[in-house]
Amino acid sequence: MQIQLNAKNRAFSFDVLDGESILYAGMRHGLELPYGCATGTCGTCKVKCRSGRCVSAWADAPGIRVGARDESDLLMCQYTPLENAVLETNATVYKADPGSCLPRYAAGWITGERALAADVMAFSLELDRPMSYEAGQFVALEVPTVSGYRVYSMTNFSPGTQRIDFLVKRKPGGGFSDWLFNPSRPSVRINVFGPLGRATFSPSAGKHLLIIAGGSGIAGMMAILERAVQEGYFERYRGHVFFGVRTWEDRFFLAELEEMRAAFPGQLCVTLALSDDDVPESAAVEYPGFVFARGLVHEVAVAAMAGNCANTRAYVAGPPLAVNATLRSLLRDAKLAATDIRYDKFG
Amino acid sequence: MAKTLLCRVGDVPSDGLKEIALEGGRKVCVINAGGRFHACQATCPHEGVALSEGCVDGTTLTCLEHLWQWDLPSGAPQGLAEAALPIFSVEVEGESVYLLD
Repeated sequence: MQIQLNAKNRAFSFDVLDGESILYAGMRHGLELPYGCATGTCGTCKVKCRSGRCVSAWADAPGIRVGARDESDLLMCQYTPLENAVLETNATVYKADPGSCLPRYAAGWITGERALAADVMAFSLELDRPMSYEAGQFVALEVPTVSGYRVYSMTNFSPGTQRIDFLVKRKPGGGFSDWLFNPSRPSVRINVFGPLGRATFSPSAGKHLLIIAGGSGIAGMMAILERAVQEGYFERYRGHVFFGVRTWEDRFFLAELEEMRAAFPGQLCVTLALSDDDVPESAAVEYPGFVFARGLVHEVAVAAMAGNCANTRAYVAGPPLAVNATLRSLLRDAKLAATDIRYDKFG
Repeated sequence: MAKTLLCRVGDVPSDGLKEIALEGGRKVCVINAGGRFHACQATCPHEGVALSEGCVDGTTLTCLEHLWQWDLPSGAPQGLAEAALPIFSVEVEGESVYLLD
């Protein structure tokens, strides 16, 4: 099927595979389409259908209810055309830059599962083809027994790799995480689409890094930090990592963060914020190079960074309400420019 | 010119926003930018998200959904915003904030 997309600045047309989402098809063809979660919840990829029948894989996708709505609205990430269709968006859409990592389909098999905390698991995917991606990006994963794609950020940064690493927080009732945490699940082929996401880091940023992540939001930040460490970025720029979990028992990735911090003492600072728990005395013994605080991670971060955000690029990840609270603080209190903030909302 | 009561001054804290539903179903967002009151359409021109969930700092209004920003009181787009935000005239009289249109 053929889609014609009339964007604010120009029109595009592209083919969609049988059953494929319009969003994934357009991105495969190198269009910088508007999207956020790519899985039906955020509503960012909502466009208007002017002609042609399209059907949704997930009729109740909550993204359609975000913001204003009329009968012609559809979510590009959930809909596939049944016939040639004409869509319209008030967004400006460009073609991706030459040489950028265009998303495509791959197959993957799970390997290397390990528990990081009671409800957090790390795993890797062995891919059937190499994948290049930017630090901070994510992919969409689909397993045969669970309907629809779920997105997870890569925790490693390794250009052209055939092994990508993830972490997953168990979400009761969450189809993919329930499937993943089931010890008796069979080994199956996982459909992969990616890379996706614009909250990316490149050393060309040329700014100090401020990283604020709650829970599994640290995933993409680990890839950003890995890239920065690989490039010796912290020789020249400072890094401040604020990682929030609920309790000391929920901690994970501290050894990995400590290894990076120790490589750039004085330049890379790591703060662990516990929202629901006092910091045990053993914390400072175990990680003497860290800062520990009790509180919500964005409040801890903004209080610590007050007056210290000149020439800084911030990366924020977490549930939408927490990210919005962080964005509000960064704009109002830390006086960061909106163009210097990258964020991922999930949950 | 119609003059419609929007809210009391104390209903919107400094650097706060509040969505007001008027008779007839029209909604507007009242902005208290450091003591200066403004009013705009209730939803972001980008994707229709409620602007009352956004934030105001000085003369800049931000929708936190995708960080679109506008200057106050002109409504001119700033930074990432691709469209202007319609701003309505308001008048503060005593403790009351009125919409003028």
